[in-house]
Amino acid sequence: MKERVLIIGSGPNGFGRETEGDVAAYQMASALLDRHYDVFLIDNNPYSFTASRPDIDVITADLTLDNVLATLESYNITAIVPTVGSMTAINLTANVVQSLGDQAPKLFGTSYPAMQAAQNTKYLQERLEQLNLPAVQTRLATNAGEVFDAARELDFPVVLRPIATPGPAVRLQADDADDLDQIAQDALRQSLTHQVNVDKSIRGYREIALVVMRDCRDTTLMIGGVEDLDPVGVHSADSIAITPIQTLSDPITETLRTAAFKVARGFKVEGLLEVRFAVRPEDESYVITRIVPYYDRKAALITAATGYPLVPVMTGVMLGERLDKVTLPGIYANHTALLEPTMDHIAIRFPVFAFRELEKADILTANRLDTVQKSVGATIGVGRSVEEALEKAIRAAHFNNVSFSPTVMNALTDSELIEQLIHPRDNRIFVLMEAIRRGYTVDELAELTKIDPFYFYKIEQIMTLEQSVREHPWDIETLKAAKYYGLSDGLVARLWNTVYDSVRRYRWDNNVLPTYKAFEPSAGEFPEAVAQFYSTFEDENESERLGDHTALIIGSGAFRLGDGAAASYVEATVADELKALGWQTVLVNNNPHDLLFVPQLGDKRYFEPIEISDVMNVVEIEQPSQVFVPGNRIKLIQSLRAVGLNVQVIPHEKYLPSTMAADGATSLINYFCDGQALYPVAISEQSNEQVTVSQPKKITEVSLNLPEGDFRQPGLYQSQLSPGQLVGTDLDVQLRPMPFVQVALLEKVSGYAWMRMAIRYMVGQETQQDQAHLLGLKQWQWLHHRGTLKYVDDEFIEHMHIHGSFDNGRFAIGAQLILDD
Amino acid sequence: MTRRYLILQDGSIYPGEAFGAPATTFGEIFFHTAMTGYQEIMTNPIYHNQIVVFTMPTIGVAGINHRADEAIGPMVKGVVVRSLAEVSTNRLKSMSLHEFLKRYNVPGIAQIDTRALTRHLRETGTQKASIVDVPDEHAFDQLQALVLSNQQIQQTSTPRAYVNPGRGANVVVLDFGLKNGILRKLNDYDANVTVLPFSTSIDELANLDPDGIILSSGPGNPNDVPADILELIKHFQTQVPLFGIGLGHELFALANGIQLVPMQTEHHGMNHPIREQITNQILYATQAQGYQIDATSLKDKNMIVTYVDLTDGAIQGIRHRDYPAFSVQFFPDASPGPIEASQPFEDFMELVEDRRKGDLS
Repeated sequence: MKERVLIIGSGPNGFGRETEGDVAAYQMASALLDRHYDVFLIDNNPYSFTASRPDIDVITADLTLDNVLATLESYNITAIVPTVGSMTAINLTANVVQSLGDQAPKLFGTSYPAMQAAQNTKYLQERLEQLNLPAVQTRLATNAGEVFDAARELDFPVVLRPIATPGPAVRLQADDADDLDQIAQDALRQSLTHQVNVDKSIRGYREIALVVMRDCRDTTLMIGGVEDLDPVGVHSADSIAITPIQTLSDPITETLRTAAFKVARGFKVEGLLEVRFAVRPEDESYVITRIVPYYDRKAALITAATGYPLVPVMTGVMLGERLDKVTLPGIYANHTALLEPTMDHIAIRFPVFAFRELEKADILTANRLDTVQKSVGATIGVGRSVEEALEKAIRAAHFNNVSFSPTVMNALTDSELIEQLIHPRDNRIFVLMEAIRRGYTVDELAELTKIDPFYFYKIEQIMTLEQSVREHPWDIETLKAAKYYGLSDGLVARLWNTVYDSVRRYRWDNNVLPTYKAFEPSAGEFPEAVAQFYSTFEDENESERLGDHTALIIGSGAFRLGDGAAASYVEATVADELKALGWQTVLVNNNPHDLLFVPQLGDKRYFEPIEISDVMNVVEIEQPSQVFVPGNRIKLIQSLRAVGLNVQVIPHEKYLPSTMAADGATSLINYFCDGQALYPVAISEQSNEQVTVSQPKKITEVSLNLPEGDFRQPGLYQSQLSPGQLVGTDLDVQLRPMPFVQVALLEKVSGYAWMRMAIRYMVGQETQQDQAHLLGLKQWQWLHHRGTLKYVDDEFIEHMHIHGSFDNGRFAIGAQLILDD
Repeated sequence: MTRRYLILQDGSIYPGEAFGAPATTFGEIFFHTAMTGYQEIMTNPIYHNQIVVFTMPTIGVAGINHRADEAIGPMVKGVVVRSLAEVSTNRLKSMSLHEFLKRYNVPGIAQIDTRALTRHLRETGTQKASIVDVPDEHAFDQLQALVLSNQQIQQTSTPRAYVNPGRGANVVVLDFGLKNGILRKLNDYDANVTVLPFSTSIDELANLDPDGIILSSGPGNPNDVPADILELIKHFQTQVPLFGIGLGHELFALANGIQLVPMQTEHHGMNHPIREQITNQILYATQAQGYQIDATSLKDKNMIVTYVDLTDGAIQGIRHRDYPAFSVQFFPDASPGPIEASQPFEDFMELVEDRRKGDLS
């Protein structure tokens, strides 16, 4: 019987749920359809790009056990995939297996024990012990005497974790018996059951993650490894992360690799598995801290960094295909699935935080990094040295070149500096730099931060270079060195008190040009087909102009607060449509989670910061016929136009100051613009909790006076409807582009791909059906007559320790989609 | 830092920054794709007199830790990297890579576009190269005039026999450029090991009454090896468990009339899938291979193929149908590299124990 496969989505975006699950689900759906499976997706994320596929069945419903069970029943599902929907899908699928037992559909991609171990640390520890693998040592204590016995047995430092606390989970560290004396009773009191878990403390250990794959024949391979800059104690997503692993020697690397294989084997995983380790630098001993049986940020980073076709391979493997026989998309060589990726470049993931943005809006948060994730997005920087990769990642994260400005940290007092070194905040890297600048030795800093001194030497190197650039204006050798280590034209310009274009022209005149290198898994050993590049300044350039009918699509970088995932959805739609229209697409972005990096969407991809100079370098290679830029990049748009490029702006509401107050519900009319006229297409209502969109009951066609300028651009726009005003009547319109969040909502509810049509109008490839659609709007019936996007903010409030309310339309990361029939 | 140059026989010049010793060096250049284990690679006698290019862009971070030595001091003549870690910070290190190379008078060159160089070498194959102060005509003339030694076994094999005592089986290792990993592995079995020079005669070896013989890995062209060694292999393979590794594998093949040919693309890395032919199990192992068995010459040789490289089909292991003798091309002792490929040692020690129990003879 043909399998009917249900992919569980990850639900509303949030911490640990950026768009990486969607990226994986999209590719997995393609791989399943290629094999003629029937594919189903259950999700309630309005920004899901996978859910916009017309070739799969999408069930829009909240991710609850009841809804999944009902779906299994009514669609005759025979297999279920929990590996591309974050921890949400793992939890849900574990519940399905528990409640259906033998009657549950086949489980694809992981195993029940692996899901349990991902959910339950205690279970993981027990299983690891059975497998003779080191886990965090834990003892249960019910009185102070037992707490002390446990601490002595495990050796200090220890961490006390009271069981069943009335509030959030508590962790108390004791470095010695004196500490313990103070906290033991307190910890016991905090437990409703008067029980405390005493853990051997691994604070300060190095955090390492390995991603491995195992098939039905027990073939195992390692896809890659990631090292965190910050030690255990800072959430892994909030630390700068580096791949390949830099500071471990070969024996410990091989030990961890073998341990990861043992875990995959022990938990009978047929598919992808990520194993997290904590390594003690003093003697390279280690413990396993977590297993992650789904495609998460580390897998996304490794996929981006190696060019390994991770999702196609994991899909084949979960279906029982052997790694040596797995079917891969055409461009990959036969051996690709089995060749362990080896890198000849460095990729650094740089977390992006929202504290400042919230502060600016007068929302109080506790700016401190701990074991609960605080970052809301990330960038990736790629280079041929740690310095270069780090510079590019920072530049990508900050959209500009403030990276190493000595003035940023001047205000910090010495004691504040020490405090922030020990208790990291969002400005981690800048504090580290400032400390070096103030003369702290590398050894002192390594002791305070538990960061490997190697990285301090690298940071020191960058700062010395910056100083040298400042001291040697217009010196070509210094400029060469600056470029070699990843400094941007913009930063050099600032250090030389000039403008980026002068530096750029000077660089050109002196033939200091970027060279693009391929991401491929063999480090140059084999000629591989490659569509993915990064820049550096070396001898050989491997990227040639793709063709003479290319569209360059510039992404919007790291997710921040608000509409990151929705923007990703819109940009992916743009790329996909352009490809469908026969364009060759070139994508530039630096967000390792972004949908723009779904391989099917681009003929060629650049992992680059999107500072003007980086984008211009790509433009010079590709000479695109059209460039698509998100509307909020005003300076970039100006620069691109200044060199005579044909620039299409993807309207983004941040382009215009918002006139929409968020108090109470506001009614809006939404229009489609074909470049000539506005067509009213939808009514929406927005409040701080939600946005509802519905088909207008009555459309009166009138010609509105279009303001000059960017409103001539085809796209979706909206204007506020005054109380009592009739839809479509002529009004003194204050138009703004329709927010991406609402574009996604409108498309899902109406069942029509408006953005795709806008793109067709933009490039002059609109069809007769498009015109007919616009003219027949009155007769046309929406797929759902009404739909609501409800902001999800509880998790956000909890992670960020926010007190009070805030503007959801501006800040909410995630939302759920509710459709009316 | 000092500007120096890497020059190749074909006229290519790569400017870079000097590290290690300021000496001028010559050797055959090759690239290695491992991301870890630079020290093990540099000290492996198989790379005697060669210049190594690391494709991993940052080299030196873990420093030098003598437990990771595969021989005393570096065996390579030069080291080519993209980005050198000037200061090594690993807690277990005893010195930095720079200090290590300086101490042994080996030059290194950094800030090379190693990816461009690798892609170039992938097309041209290995060639002669030199690290020099000035890339002038004189330097190229010297490079052209350089004759690569074909006496590498003579140069790397131990001049006299020595014992690494143990309480277990009596294992003899014939040293063709032995790496420490093989001895470390035999230590795990508490074998009583005698390491013999490559020039050991049949009688001398027979006097030791070995329970098993290992033909070690080593450098150079297997076709340059003195014919006496092949005779010795032929003599003992019928009587004593015999296990060839790397060059030892190649010599075992030659002794059995199998041809060896230079490879189009050499294997120097640890990421190729290798299939065990009987169980179909796929594993990864460190490879250092410039010659391969000519599969056509293997027919009618009473051998079965045991391991195959799945990227290009290169034969990675053979076993004699009648004798307790077999060999592998890859490094079952790891160091560096994956430790999952050690099964051949297990197989060998099993044969050795069988023989000790009298099951074989």
